[in-house]
Amino acid sequence: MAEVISEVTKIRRRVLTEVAALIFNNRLVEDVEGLPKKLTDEGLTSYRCCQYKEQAILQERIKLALGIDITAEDSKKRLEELARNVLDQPVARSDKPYITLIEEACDHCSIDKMFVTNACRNCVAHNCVNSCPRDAIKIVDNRAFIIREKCIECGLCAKACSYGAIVEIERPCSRACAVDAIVSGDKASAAIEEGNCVECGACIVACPFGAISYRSEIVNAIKMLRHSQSETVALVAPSFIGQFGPGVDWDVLKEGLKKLGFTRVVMVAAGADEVIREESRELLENIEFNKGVTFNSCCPSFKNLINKHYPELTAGISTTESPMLKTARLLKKSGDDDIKNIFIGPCLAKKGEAIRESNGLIDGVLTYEEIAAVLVGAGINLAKLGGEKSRRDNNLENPSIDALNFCAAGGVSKAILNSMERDGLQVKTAAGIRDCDKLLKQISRGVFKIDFMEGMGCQDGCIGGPGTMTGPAKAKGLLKKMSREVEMNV
Amino acid sequence: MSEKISVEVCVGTSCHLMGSNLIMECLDRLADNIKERIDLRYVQCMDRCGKGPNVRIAGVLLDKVTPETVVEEIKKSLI
Ligand code: SF4
Ligand code: SF4
Ligand code: FES
Repeated sequence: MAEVISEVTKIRRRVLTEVAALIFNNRLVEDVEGLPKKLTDEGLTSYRCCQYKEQAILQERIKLALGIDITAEDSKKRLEELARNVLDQPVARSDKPYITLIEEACDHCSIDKMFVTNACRNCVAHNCVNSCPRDAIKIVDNRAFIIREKCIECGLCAKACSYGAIVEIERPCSRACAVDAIVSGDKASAAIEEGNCVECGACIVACPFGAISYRSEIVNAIKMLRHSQSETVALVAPSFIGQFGPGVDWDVLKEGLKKLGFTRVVMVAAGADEVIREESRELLENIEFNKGVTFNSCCPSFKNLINKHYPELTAGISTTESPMLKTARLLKKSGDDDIKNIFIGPCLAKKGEAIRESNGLIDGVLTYEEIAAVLVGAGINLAKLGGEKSRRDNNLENPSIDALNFCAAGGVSKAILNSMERDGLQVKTAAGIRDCDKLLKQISRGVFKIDFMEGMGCQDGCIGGPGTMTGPAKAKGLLKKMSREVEMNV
Repeated sequence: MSEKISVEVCVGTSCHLMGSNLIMECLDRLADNIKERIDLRYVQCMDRCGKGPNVRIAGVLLDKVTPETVVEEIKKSLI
């Protein structure tokens, strides 16, 4: 997603940073009410009709930064009161989807899909009229007119018009969503159909108004870091490479996170090594007993896709825990309250996975942009740190190259193939929900027989995740470089 | 005139969060004849964190830049 950092992305990050800073300065309750005005006064882009609307939207963004479920009735309270509540109450996490629509920000984009433009010349041929299988086009006022009730949005008229006068317009959010989870809401705004949503975050990136965003967990995380008597561990996803700017390598990041209050900083890639072993074993067994295709379990959004849209294939999902959960388990036993595990990665779907599947092993999930906002809020500038070269004697800091590559599309299947020492394995990979969906459809129909499918919810894999700050092309290059370095060291 | 102009890009965490990496990527994509005349440096912080991303082109500090404005400014100072 980081190929483009739109104005709305900046607004989201700015809000997260301001909220974090207010907490660190112990001014949240006092100053949060004035934050929307402060931000618009500072010239935060006013692409809305008026400042009041802009501020109303900012209020909702602040609520999301505070981790509040804005669909709930009691989110209508004043910011000050909401802020006091989130600070006072014990850390409670809900299983409500993290991805939400900000009703006020949604521009009610047109949902009539086929649209006749001014380019229509009322030509003699009337190819549009003739092409329509439902007789939905009439000529009204010298121009083609689409009768909404009859139109089935097949798009044939758009193809038929010699002038290209009919276009297909779709809401950017629903175009981005490969599983039809964006529907029309009550007030002609968009709405997210929870039953279909796989939490990939593609719609957040797509909406030009920033009307879809996510509930943040920064408040909980900061509270754990500041007040917890227990050990707080940062579990950093393999895709961290290059995410925090030039020069910020593992040692620098680690130093920064420790400064922030984490007592330990570990690589999730270390858990991935364990996953490779286990998942390969499982695959071998599945092949032996002719159980059909095995699917990787590390991408929660891919898993959601199978569970929600291909229930007939769920049995094939590997039962191996994801690298996040594996690493967390190495650090604490469930119910062990003396350790707080906070996962830091590119992913929004991991937030849901942590709640649904971690059994309390994971206490919080932050995206790279969330942790960066927290660092900035705490006044920590990673670029200024030296990154003391610590000895990596710890096995949680020495993952294999295959494990490091889990974060790039194709990496998981490559790791499995490398560890299997077996010829003739049939493997296919897909990245991005749309491609995953296509492949799953074929598998479900029995179009081909394969042993293993690697599915990644994001294009390019996790390095293209919605919570990243650096583009996947750049990240891929740095990953290659790091792999080479690891290789040289062994 | 073939003097080089200095382009400093702030890569502090605050500016990075606001997209300084995009500035670097767009500098990467500049035509070679322009690139040759740029003296590129990374800066840790320009003390204007709330207004990032910040760059300094030929000594002039610019805040809240986008790739487009940076390229425009560079071209202007090269004339
Ligand atoms: S499936 Fe992805 S694109 Fe569709 S609504 Fe959910 S998060 Fe958005
Ligand atoms: S590809 Fe990675 S970042 Fe994207 S949804 Fe899957 S696990 Fe999350
Ligand atoms: S981080 Fe860029 S001005 Fe401080």
